[in-house]
Amino acid sequence: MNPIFLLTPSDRGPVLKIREQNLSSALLISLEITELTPLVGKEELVAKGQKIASDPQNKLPSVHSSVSGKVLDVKKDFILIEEEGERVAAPLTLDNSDSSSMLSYLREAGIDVSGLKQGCTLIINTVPAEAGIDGHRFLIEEFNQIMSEGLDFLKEALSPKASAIAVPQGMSWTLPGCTGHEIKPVYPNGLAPMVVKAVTGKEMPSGVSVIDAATLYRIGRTVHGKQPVTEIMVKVGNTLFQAPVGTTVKLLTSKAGFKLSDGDRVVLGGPLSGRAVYSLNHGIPADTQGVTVIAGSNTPVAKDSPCLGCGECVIKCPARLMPNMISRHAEFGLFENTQAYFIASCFECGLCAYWCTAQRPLLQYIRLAKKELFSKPILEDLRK
Amino acid sequence: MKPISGSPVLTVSSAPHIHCGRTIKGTSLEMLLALLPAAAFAIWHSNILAFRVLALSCVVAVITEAICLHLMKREIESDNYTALLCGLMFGFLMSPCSPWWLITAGSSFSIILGKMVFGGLGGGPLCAPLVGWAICKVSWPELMDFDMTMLGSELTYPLSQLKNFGPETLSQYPLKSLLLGFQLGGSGAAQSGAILLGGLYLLSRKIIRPDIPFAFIAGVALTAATFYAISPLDYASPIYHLLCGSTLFGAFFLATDSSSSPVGHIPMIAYGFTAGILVIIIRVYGVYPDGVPFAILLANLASPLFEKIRPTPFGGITNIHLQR
Repeated sequence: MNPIFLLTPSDRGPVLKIREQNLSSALLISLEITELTPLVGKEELVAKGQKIASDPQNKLPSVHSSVSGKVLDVKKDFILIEEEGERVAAPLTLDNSDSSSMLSYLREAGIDVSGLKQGCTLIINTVPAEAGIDGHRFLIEEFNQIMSEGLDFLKEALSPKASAIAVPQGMSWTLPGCTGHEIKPVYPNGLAPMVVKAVTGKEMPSGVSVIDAATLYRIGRTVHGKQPVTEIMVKVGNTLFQAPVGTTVKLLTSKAGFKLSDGDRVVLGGPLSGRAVYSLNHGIPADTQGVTVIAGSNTPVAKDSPCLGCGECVIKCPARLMPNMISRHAEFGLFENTQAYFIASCFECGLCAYWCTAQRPLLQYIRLAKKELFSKPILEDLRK
Repeated sequence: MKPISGSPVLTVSSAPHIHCGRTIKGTSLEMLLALLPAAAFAIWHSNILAFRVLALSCVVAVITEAICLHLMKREIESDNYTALLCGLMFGFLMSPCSPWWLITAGSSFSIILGKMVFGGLGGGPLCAPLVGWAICKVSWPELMDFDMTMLGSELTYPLSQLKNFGPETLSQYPLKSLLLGFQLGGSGAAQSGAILLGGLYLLSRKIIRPDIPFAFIAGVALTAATFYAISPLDYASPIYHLLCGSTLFGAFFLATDSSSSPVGHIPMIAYGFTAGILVIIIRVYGVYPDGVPFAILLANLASPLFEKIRPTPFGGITNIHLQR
């Protein structure tokens, strides 16, 4: 088995707490706030847990300062905060009268609740999304109580039909009130659509909400402490960090022992589905579970070469699609045609582009086509 | 450009950020390596005659591809060895005594009509070496007849013996000598044992998938066995059909050609099986002693049809807008 695809959680090592490290300077928190409106200005003093950016449309989770400090800079994409003082923001007020206000409470606390539906089947996914992104093992084994508190809150807010926990094979993780399901720890089985299939037996059914273990922990912590969670578990290489949200990847990678040079990639998440950052000063967002460093090489990962028709992508695709044909159409801007090849079933695991002999950017083309189709008015589609 | 801060310049890309490392060049090199034993056997059996056929065919193929790409105002991509591979496979199908102009014409037609007119690498709907072979076979039939071109050889062509004198003549070929290539046929294609070795090497390195070769062999074996069961006196046993002529070369190297074969497990098996059945039908009823090239060309034409066999996509057919 290729270790890239092995999702068995690794043994628990010590947790490195960034706040307790002997840093030469005060912590500089660089928060990513893309598409959100900043609520603070330059030179302003912020408290730990204070809301510093929010979505005017009330869809995306808000962003909170993870330290008490002074805002050094506010840019389009970043808020830079230097640690200073010991201020703590007032606790969040919880109105648990009805479900939607409970969910908006979570969103205000910085948790993405867009996938949670009333009366759904709730699935707690504890399978690592990718090899090595297994920092939540520590949370499940140490903070089971907090997580069940979070689960109770979710149950009250969503009143789910049933709740289940998906665990990687061989792990004895449980949560009270959840039926356990063992998942074969091989990529892409840890991705939400595959977990849903393994638990419910159906492919992409409606009325199923998946929430991963780290997010459940954050919910529990929020409900328990009435404060947004500003310290998260991040796995960088083989080291597990407890770090404030917004800690720069520069600090994390250097503490984890990586020496970065030109051409390397720093990816939030795993190498197959993560997001590469452009600057080492990039702060980690609250939903980060791992940072992957990929050494640069002279040969590019993807090339602009023609499809050979070898069929490797078709055989490796867990969604039974034809990435070769989708990419051939997307390449020439024929995005409409990709619907005939069921592009909507793609859950972007990245295996097609990983295996492509011609090194074509298959997933990249699929994402491009999806984006173009999404931006099309919905009416046009219904008229057919 | 280096930022003043001294921080390294990171590469930014969209996921996936890693690749399995398999490249077009690596794949062609593995295939060339797998063909080497058969080429060596061919040169040994034909007293170096095959060497000149194979070398000429390779050189002509590479030069033709370079000229075509130049005319198409595209970057010359001979360094991925696909043209070299195509040339070598064409040479494998030709008699070691072929005149130089026949090899030149066939090899360049393979590249031009089999590959470049369809847009180059990966575009050809037919297996490129077979296109050149088919043009030569129908244009110069007497030069493509192994019995006619190799009168001086002590070996005989088992498939024409079978066609002209019936299956009892096949008893003069022990299986071991067939495996070692003591038979007339295409310079490399007739070296059954060496081809089998190369094919198994490709399978073990996962360069080709087992679906097509095994389905092809199963198609040949089952159809031949059916005929043999009907009348053992009129039809040859399956083992001869597998070891004589270019059956194994077709199964492992020609039918698996990536651009002309279908994708997906079921289409691949259906395609291989159809080609295998066609081989025996052409050998039994057709005028061509070795049915492999035409059988594969016919199956190539049907591969878009085989590709229509698709399982339902994950989650059924959904509308992308509903996932917004």
